[in-house]
Amino acid sequence: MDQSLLERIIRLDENDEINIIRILILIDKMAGRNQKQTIDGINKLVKLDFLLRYPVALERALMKLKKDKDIPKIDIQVYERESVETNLMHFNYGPWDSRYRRFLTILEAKGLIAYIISGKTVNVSITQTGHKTVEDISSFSEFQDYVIRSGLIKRHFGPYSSKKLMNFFYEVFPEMVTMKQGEEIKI
Amino acid sequence: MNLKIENLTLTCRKEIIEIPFAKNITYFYGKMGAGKSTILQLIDYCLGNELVVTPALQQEFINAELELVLGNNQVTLFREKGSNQVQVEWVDLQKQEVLNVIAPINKQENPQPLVPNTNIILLTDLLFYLGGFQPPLVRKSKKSENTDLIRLSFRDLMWYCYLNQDEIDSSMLHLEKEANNFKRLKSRDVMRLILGFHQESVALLESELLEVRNEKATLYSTAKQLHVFLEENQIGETSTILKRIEDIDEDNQQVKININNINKEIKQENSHPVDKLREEARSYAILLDELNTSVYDIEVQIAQRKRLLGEFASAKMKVNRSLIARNTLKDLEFLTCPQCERELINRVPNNKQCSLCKVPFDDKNYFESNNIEVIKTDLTSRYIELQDSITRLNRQRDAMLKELRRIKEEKQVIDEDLLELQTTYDSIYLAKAKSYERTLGELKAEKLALHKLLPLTNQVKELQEKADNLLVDEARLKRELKEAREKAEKDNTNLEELKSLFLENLVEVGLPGVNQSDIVSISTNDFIPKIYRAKDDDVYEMQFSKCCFALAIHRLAKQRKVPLPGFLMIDTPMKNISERENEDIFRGFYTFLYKLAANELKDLQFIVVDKEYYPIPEKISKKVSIIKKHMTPDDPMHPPLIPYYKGH
Repeated sequence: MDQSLLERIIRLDENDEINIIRILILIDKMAGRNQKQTIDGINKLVKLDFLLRYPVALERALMKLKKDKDIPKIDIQVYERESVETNLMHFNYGPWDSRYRRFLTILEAKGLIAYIISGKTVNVSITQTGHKTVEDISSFSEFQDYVIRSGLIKRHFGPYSSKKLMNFFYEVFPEMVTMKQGEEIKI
Repeated sequence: MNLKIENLTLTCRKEIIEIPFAKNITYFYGKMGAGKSTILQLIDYCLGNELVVTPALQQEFINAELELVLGNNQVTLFREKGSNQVQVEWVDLQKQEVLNVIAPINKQENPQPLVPNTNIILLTDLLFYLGGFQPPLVRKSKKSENTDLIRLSFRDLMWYCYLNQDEIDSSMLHLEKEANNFKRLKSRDVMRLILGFHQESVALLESELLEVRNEKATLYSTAKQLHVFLEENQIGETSTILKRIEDIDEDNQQVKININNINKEIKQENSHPVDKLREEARSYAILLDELNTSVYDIEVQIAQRKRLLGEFASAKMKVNRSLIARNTLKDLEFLTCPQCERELINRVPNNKQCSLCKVPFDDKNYFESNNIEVIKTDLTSRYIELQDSITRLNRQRDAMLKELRRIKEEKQVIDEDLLELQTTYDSIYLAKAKSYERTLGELKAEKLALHKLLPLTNQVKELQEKADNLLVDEARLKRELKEAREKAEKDNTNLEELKSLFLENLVEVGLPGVNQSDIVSISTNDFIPKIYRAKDDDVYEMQFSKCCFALAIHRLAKQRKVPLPGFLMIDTPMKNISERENEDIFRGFYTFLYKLAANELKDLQFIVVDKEYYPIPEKISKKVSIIKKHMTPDDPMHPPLIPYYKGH
C-alpha cells in the first residue's frame, strides 16, 4: 500500500461521520426498546464505545465473563483482527479523546440525542429523530455489525457503572495499565 | 635276636611291685594262686598280647612297665591296663639317644610311621626294628602261588618263646590241625623260617615276582583303560587318525579360500551401489533444504499480503460506511446552533447557500464524494490485484509443497534402500564370515585333539608289549622260585638236625619209653613231630613233648642264627605230670634245662614257673645268674605277686 492511500484511509478514519453514526447507534441501543433509558455519564459512553469500536476487545471482555454463547455473535472479520487500525487501538482509547464532546454536540444540534443533567452527571438519551435515523441506517449491511455488537454491549455491560467498567477493563486488559503512551498493542 | 628281660614293674592301686629277672634263669615257684603265671602274662602283655585278667588284676592292676635289652637298645615298654597301645622308650646303647614313641598294637587307619622314613607302624614292627631285624616276609596265602607277601609278626615268634601252661600239652605250638587256622599257618611260617626253608633267595625271588606281577598288572590295566577309552571315543587306529588329520587340513584350506572370496565379494559388490545411493541421498537432502526455505519465504509473503488484503477490506468498509454516514448526516439539518445551542429560528430553506454559514453552494460537491469514490475504485482494483497475487502465491506454494513431498518420499526410499543395502550386505557377510570362522575353529580344535590322541594308540601297544615282556619275566621268576623253593625244602639238614635234637632232648629228659633208636618224623607240611618205634608203627602220645620240642627249636635257632627272641618262658612244664609219680622226669627235665642254660643255651634267658623248685646244682649255679622266688598266696614270708591282696 503506498503512503498516500494509507494516509487517505487514516484520514477517513478521522472523519467525524462514521464516529458520529457509530455513537448514535450505541446510544440508541442503550436506550432500549422503549427508548427511555439513558447512559449515565459521558465517561461510561466512551468506555462502551471502546468495546464497540474494537470488536477484539469486546471478544476478550466476553471471554472474561465466560459468555461463550455470545462470542460468535460478534462475528469478527479477518481484517478486524489484523488491520493497522486494531493495532492503533490504544491511541484511540479512553476519555482523553477530545473529539467526543464535538460528536455529541453535533448529535444534539441535529436533534438526534438529548442531554438530561442530573446533578453533576450528564445522562444521554436518544430522540425520536435519532431512533428513526438509526432504524434507517440499520438497513445498510455495512452497519449491521455495529447494531448487533451494540446489543451485546447493552446486554452485558449496560448495568455497569463507569467505575466498575474501569476496574473491569484493567482486569481484562492489564497491558493498558503498564503501557506507555504511543506503544502499539496487540490484543 | 638279643632279648633280655631285666625288670618288670607292676603298678597296683596300693603298691608298686618290682620284679627283677636274672640273665640266665629266673624261677618262680610256690602254691597255686600266688600270681606266678600272671608275671609271664604281664611280660607278654607288655610285648603286645592280650591280658588274661585275673580277679586280682581286675581289682588292683593299673599299669606294667617292662625293662629289657633288645638288640643294642635299652628298652622300656609301658602299657596301661586295657590300653591298645604301648609306650616305648629306648636308649640306643651305641648312639646314647633316648627315643620315645607310642606304638599301636593293632592296625590303624592312616598309620603314621613310628620312626621317620621307615614303614614301622605297629609295636611288632618296632620290636623287630629295635632287635635289629627286618621282619621276615612270608606269603599271605599258602595255597596260591600268586599271592602277596606279608610281614611275619613278632607275636608269631612269641609262640615259640612262651609256653603257656594252659596250652603246654594240649597244643603243639599251634601247629596241629585243631588249632586256629590262621595261627597254624603263621606258626608253620615260623617253622619254615627256623628250618631255613624260607631262604633268602626264595624271599628275594618272591618279592621280585611280586614286583613283576604288580607292574604287569598295572601295565595291563592301564593299557586296557586306554583301549576302552579309545574305543568309547571311537578313535580308531593310528592310520585312521592320520587320514582324518589330512582331511581336516584340506577342509581348512577350503574354508580359508571361502573366507578370501567373500572378503573380495563384499568389497566389489557393496561399495559401488552404496556410494551411488549415498550421493543421491545427499543431493536430495540439499534439494529438500532449498525447497523448505522457498516454501517458508512464500508463506511469509502470503501472510504479509493477506494482512494487506485485510487492510484493504477494512478500508473499503470504512469508505462505504463513511459515504453512508455522510449522506445520512447531510440530510439531517441542524435544529440548534452547534455553537450557542440556541434554536435556529430564521432558517430559510435555500438550495443556493448553507443555512448555517450562508456560503453559497457552488457546483462542486461539498462532501468531496468524488474523492471518496476515487479512493473506493483505487482500493477495489488494488484489492483484486492483491487477492490475485495471493492466489498465485498460494498456487506456487502448493506446487512447491507437492514437490517437497515427492522429494521427501523419494529420499525416504533412497534412505531405506541404502540402509537395507548396508545391513543386508553386512549381515550376509557377517553370517558367512562367522560360520566360516567357526568351522575353522572347530577344525583346528579337532586337529589338535587328534594330534594329542595319536600317541595314545601307540601307547596301548607299547604298554601291552611291556606287559607281555613282563610275562616272560614272570614265568622265569616263577620257575626259578619253584626251583629255589624245592631246593630249599630238599635241603633238610636243618630238619634232620631238629629231629635229632628233639629226640636227644626227650632221651636226656628221660621220658619213659623213648629210646635213642626211635624215629622222629616231622612232615614238611604241618611240622608236627611224631615218634615211631622202630619195630611197629604205633605213635606215642607225646605228653610233655612240647617243652622238649621248644628247646630243640631254640637249640636249632641258636645253631642256625635264626632271629628267635632270646628268651624262653615256660609256665609249669610238669602240669599234667605229678612230680611225685614222675620224679625222674621232673629231675631229668630240670637237670637237662640247667645244663643247657649253663652251656649250649647260655645266651638264652629262661623264665620258669612251677609249683616246686628243683634246686640248681652248685656246679651250675656258680656259672649262671639265677633269681628264684618263692610265692604263696597266704604265707607272709613268701608273699604273692600283689602282697597286700588277700583275695576277693
